[in-house]
Amino acid sequence: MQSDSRDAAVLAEGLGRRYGDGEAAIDALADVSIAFPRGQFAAVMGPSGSGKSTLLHCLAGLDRPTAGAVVIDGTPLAGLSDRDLTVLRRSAIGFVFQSFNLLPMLTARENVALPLRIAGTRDSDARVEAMLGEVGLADRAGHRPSELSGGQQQRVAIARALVTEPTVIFADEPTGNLDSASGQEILDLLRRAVDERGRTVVMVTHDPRAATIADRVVLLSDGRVVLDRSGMDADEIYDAVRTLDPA
Amino acid sequence: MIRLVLAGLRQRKLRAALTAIAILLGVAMVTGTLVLTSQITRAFDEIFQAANSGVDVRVSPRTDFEGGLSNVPTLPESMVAQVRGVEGVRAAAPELAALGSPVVNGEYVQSTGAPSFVFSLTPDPFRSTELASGAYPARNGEVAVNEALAANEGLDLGDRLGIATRDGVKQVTLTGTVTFANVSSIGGTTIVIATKDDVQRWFDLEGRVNSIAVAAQPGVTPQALARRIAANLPATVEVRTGQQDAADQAQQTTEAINTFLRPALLAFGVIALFVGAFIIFNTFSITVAQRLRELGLLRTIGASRRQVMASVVGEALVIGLVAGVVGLVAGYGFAALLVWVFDTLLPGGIPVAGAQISLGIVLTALLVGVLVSVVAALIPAVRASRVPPVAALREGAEIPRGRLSRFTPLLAGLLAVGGIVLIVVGLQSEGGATRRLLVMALGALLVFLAIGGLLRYLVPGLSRLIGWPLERTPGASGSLARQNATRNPSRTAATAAALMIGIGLVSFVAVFAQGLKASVTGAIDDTLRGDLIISGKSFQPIPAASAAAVRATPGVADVVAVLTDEARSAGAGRTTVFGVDPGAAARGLSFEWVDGSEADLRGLGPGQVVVEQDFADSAGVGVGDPVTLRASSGARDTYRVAGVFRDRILFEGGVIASRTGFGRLFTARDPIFVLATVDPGADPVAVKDAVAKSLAPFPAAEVRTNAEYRDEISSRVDSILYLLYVLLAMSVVISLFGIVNTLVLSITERTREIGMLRAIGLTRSQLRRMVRYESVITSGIGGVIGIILGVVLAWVFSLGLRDEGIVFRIPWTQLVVFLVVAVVAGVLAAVLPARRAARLDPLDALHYE
Repeated sequence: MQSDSRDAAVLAEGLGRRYGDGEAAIDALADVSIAFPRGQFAAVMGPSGSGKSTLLHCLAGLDRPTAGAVVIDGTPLAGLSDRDLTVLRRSAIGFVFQSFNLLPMLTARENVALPLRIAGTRDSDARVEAMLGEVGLADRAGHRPSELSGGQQQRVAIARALVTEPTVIFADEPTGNLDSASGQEILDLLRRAVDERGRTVVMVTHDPRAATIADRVVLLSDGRVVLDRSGMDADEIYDAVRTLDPA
Repeated sequence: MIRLVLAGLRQRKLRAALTAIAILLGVAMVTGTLVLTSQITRAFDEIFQAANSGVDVRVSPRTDFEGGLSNVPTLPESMVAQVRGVEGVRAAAPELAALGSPVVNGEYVQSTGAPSFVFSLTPDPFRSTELASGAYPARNGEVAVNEALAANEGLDLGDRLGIATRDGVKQVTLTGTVTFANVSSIGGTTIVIATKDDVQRWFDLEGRVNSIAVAAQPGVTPQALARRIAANLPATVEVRTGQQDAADQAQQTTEAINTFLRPALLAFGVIALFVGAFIIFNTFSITVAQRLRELGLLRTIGASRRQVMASVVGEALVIGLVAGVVGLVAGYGFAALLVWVFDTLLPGGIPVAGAQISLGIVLTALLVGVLVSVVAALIPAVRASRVPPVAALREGAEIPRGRLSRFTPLLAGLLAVGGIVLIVVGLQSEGGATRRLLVMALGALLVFLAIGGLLRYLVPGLSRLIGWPLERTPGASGSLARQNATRNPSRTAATAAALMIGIGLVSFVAVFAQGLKASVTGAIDDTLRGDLIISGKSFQPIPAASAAAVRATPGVADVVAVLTDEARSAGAGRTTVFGVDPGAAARGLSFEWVDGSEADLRGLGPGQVVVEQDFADSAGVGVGDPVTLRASSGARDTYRVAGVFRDRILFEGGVIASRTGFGRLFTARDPIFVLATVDPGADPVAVKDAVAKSLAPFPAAEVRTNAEYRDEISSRVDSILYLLYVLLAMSVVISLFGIVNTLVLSITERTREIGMLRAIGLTRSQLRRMVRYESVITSGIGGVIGIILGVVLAWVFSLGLRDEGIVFRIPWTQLVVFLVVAVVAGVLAAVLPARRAARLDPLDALHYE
């Protein structure tokens, strides 16, 4: 799996993130080196406080690591200005959040179009319509989030993440707020983004069943990678998590 | 509960401060007005006290009421000896006072607004001035002037200066400078003290005095002496003690200040408070909506609805109290600002005593602050009390709507109709101007409230209109801003409504003033056939001799000198009477005749008058009817109406008599203005220059062409307009804070959204632009609706005042400026909120729950 790391969609080397300093300092991440090649669906797992969200934020350029480097799509994040980082997020990264984070005053169509409008892209209507069709919401394009179910809202969020054709999609507990049927639909959509469009997906989850759809499972504990394997089934993942999380 | 309120306020310091500022400025305007007006009244008290120091009794001509400007009632000088002869009189001295400006190095010392006095020197016990340097004039041709005048004009003792008199400019020598004892400031007033003989000669008062000052012998009370003197003099004189005289004079100015200046200034304070109330209401509405969980939690742990309501009211109370205290302090600053504004916009300024603090002012400040704050927070407090306990547990819980809320549009509609009815009633009704204005102001207030209530229904449409150009800018900032502005229409509406009030009133006065200028200048064009107008530089009458000088100027064909004084008449009450030469008047003035004709004016006999239609209507007289006029001296005479004319501006409600007829009642000899017609074919501008040369001995008189006179009137209207703008600007500033407040609260509410937007690629500058655009859309709504409302109100007023000759004119340029001001206000208001939004760390923002 660890092919040519320079070709990776996302690359982290010696990544560390320390909060506070002196005695009270806590290492949320410590010396994490990991590469996510293009076209891979990776699940990042670990108990609460293991650093999985911190890893995601650092990889996505939302949080600045205190040690190490992150390279996205060949661009090192260190040294980028806030503006350049924002533009990179805009073009190379898509986000899917646990709590959907759609703008309530915008319709589904407008929410999907949002990243393109922010970027000032013209004539994007067809792309937006196609994207909505792909997530199965063509008939709901004119609805506002409050008129959609949770699953539908998350599908809008996925369409919004995919519409800019980003290199990597970071998903933070995308099924956390959904019933299992809706959750499965979301996972299928992410899977298709990898298989059909060659996107890279990095998904943080604590649900072993969700993780089974991934190509690879990365297990974190106390800010370190303790397991990095491909092709695990649900039971194996369960066992791996349980050994780390006694609760 | 109190602890909870205080803790809550500490936690939201910025909001609490912004909210307090909203009322603080209104409180400052109210207390500032009270401070300033008491400063002015005390200054006048001081002046009149000083003028009467040493005077036990004063003898003056009896007047039934205050006469016109040209009216100078006098007593025979022989009466001084008569008074001296009364038992108990230690000393008696003649007093003369006239209006005449100094002329320094050939330059007329202009004190437009404030009077330029020439006083006769009175002997020691009666002296109201104190020598600052040199000596009092010892002989004719010597004068002392007030110290400030000498300092401003660079006059040294022994210098020569001129005094503009009725008899031309008199050259005199400066022997001393004086201060007006114990008086803080007399504004721009100039004082010249000359010998009695000089004053009498200069102002054609030989053998006459204006009043007689009397000192009592030891052991004789002023009251007793006054009674004794009165018994020895004819009934045409008034004998008062010095104390009483000072009190009477002070009371006149105090009354003028208390019935005009104070209410007028207070009105602007009330407007500012009204705007502040909108902001308090809006802020509390937003925070109650944002604190649903917290309020629900209070309910679950056992707080009653009443306690929840009390916690919100308590917060308003604390904010109001803080605003009251700080507003009180700021009020003194505002009073100082007003003094500066008056000094700048009204030449001459106003006399002002030192500022004082009084319990009344302190209590007013605190009460106003608390009352406005609490009343404005009542509806949000009631709404807070309706938060169900379950709101603590559930996200997205809503406050159940009140039973009455669906009637809001209906209620607002009724308010609007009621407001318009009040305005129309105020315009149409008879009665005192103050009461009519009050009724109309109440009407306007209701209209503003109603539009404020209805505005939420207009917000989506208006946002689309104003946001149109913004949405065309690259990036999503414009459309996001527009959609943010419309997602909570009542919030945007209430925020915009606060600005709407200020912009609305500014637009109203601008449109109204434009109409007023158009009517006045139109009336000048219509009424005055002549080419030149000669009048005083400071609303004073000009010496009769100056009219003769104009007449003698080559190129002048015809001259009309217009005398004026005040009279009373049955039915019409206070009336201005004009005295003219009928033949010249018929040539120089052009009236619209309702009954009779120009021939009736030309042939006006001494026992006849022509009257303006307003007078005819209120006195109930027509052609052929008798009219009895009474002068302030008590003299009365009856005239027959020869014609009725219409003139809404210059002669409105007036009576025109021939000079002989006028002279039967009034002593005024100096015209208030003189109209001149140039020879056919002559160049009016060249003749004007010639007239100006002829007027050289009378520097108080000024000649203007009709066009210049029109411009002068326009600029006078403008300077009042600017004063109103300054006072209304406070309301605009207050509403600016309202916009800041709403934006800050909205940004807090949307923290997570902002985090998401930043995560998916919105740059900081795009985010700032988004906030700024939302602010501009809000302020634009306030501006557009305010301007429309102001124009409509002015239109209604102009309809109601059509009979007064007021026309409706829209000052387009100024309205465009107001719109720009609104937009700029929006940009300014967004500075702080935009910076706060941009500072949010997207990560923190995403975690924010």
